[in-house]
Amino acid sequence: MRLHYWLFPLLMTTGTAAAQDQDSFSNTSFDELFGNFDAEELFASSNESPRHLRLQLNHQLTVHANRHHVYSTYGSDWKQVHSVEMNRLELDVRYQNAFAPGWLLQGSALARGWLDGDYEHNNPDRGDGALRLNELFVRYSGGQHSFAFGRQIVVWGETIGNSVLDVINPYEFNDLTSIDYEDARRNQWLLTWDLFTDKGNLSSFINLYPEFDPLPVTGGPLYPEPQKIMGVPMRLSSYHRDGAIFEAGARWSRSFSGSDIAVMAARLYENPLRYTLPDLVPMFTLAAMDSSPADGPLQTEAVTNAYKLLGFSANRAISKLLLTLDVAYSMDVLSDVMTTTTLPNVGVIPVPGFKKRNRIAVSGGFEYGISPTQQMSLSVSATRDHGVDLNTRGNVLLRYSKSLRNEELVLSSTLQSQLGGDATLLFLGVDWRLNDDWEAEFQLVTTHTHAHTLVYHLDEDVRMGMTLKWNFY
Amino acid sequence: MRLPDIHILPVLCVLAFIPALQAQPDGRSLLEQVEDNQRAISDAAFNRIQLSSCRFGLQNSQVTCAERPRIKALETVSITTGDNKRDTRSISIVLEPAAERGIGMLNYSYDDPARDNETWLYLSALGQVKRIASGNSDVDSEPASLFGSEFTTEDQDTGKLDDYSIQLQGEGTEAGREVWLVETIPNEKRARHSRYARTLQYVDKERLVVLRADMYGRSGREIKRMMASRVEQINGTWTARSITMMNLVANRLSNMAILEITTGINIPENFLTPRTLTDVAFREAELQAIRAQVD
Repeated sequence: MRLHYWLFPLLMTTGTAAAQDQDSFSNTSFDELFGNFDAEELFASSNESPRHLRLQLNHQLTVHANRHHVYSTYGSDWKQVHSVEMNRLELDVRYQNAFAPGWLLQGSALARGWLDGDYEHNNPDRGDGALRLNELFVRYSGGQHSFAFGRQIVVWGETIGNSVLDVINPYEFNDLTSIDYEDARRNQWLLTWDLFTDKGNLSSFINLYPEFDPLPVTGGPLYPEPQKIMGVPMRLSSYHRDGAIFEAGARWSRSFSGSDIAVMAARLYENPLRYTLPDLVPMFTLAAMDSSPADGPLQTEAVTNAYKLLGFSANRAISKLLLTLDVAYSMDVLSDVMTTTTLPNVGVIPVPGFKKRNRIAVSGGFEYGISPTQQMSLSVSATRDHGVDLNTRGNVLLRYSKSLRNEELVLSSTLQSQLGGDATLLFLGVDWRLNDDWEAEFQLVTTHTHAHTLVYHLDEDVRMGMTLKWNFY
Repeated sequence: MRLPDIHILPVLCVLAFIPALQAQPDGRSLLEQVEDNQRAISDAAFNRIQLSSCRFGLQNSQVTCAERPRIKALETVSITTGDNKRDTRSISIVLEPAAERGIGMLNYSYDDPARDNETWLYLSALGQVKRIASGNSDVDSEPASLFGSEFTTEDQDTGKLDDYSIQLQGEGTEAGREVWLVETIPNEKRARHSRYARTLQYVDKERLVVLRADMYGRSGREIKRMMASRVEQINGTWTARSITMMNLVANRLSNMAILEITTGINIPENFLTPRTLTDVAFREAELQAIRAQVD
């Protein structure tokens, strides 16, 4: 029967104009057109034997399409050739089961294999595959309360993709395939409690095992080679958990006609991690004595920093516009500073360091005509530290998507730029859903970066990618 | 003896006009009765719906799908609230296809023209409930669609009749039934938020159900047509169980087949809140209790 539908466009001779022969509309029995008027067949499988498990197998291929040579302000250079950057196979598993009244078990995991050409293939630090547990939590909801324990995410803020309050989860950005901020979130072990009342909702969490953004993969698109100081490469180190640390937070929210507001407070750890270089001063000393500064890579030390966050978020729907606003006030966050130290036989030298400061951050924007067929959003975020004579930093994010042919084709574009224009990314994508089981995605990503940035090597990059997905149950 | 005659005359005049009034009701009161029927069928209701969409063409003077229709199975729960129960709250949750299972849409529809309707969606990729700016749309952009179908939030609205000029245009026949033809034209304020500059509704004279609606854009061209069938009486109220929306610009259609309608069930008001979109444990527990009243 499926063949019938595919052949039909070829057999039709009437075309669009004839399709609007409106007398024919009244002649048509739409009930017959869509088959049996019987709920049992359609709903039986959903309600009597629900499919709790969903699987997806996907293959992702990304290539560099622009061969070029770029230089940094600091004298280094980077040659980009036509090459495969990503070639990987992934199995995603998702499980959701409301196994008893008020109870839910939900989990998701992935198995990934890096194939020939992928930047992770033959990585000396790990094998050619990885398993990862993303979500795994059990939830109980009864009356006005809901409790959940396990690996999960907590999302605060209204400005999608650019919220200064979306800081609770760690994020993983290893390459340019996770264009959307929300796709890069990683779950943590949390205990959450939600209280739903007529006067608003209270949501709280406690995290006794805070996790941090994973280290960038050396050789990957965002960290092609280790940074060097005086020609000596640095090796970033993971955080070594040597004591109990925790995060906790609470958020109260309330909906009004056409608007939602929320206030929140939390004790959190800063992400991403910061690093110190305990060997830096001795290295300068050795260099001053004309000795070899170091034999191996410079070891770094990860620094954790607890801080307090106060936040406010709101949205307001005005006809076709949804306005969003997020405000975050962070106390005791680390801010980069240059200090000095005195070396024997050398004198005073500048040394990078940190200082605790308070930070104000604001993000806001609008969504226009958002619907399953067409969405557009524009947002700006800006951050400023107290007591630092630096320009305000932030991001601009513009997104547009349009679905066509009954959601069979989705066209999307993302433009992301730092406020100062140091780095800009443009993403164009086409998602083509062939049927309920098969999807193909095509991506074009261009990046422009300034020569004085750490990611100068991304300048003039053009990446083309394709992902084929097979959903099965 | 004369005085009574003078007093009787106006009464006789009114009585003389009563048959004419029955034959020619005003459009506004007709649509109010139609909407009352819709509200009656939406109060404390649980429906199972098959939502089918496809690009259409003609074959042997019959409309047919030019591609394999995309079929979704939905469960919807609705209640009426507010003054005189003229506001409606409804939630629709996708059961099939499995890849979209659990996606939900919550809608608050207000009778008061001064209050914009409200819509929330749960998008799993965002991990949060999103309020949708549901002030509908203008001719240049699409209003929020019901799960990608040709039905939009605007098509499902009730109330706000004060925002329309309503005229009875005459009578006719549709699908073998005697109908009133009622034209609605939005006022300037409503027109800014509506895709339709004019709508012609074919209201079944006896059952007070809209059997067909032709929607016209600002250029005067018909852009959408709604066709209803399978009109049945549910708890004393006539309702159409099969509604087809044809998008005459995109040549796409969607059919909403209400496979099961159950009214008068016990639905807690807190089920029609954004919590139901995110708290799956709560939602499934409540749905199980609702299904138990139905099955």
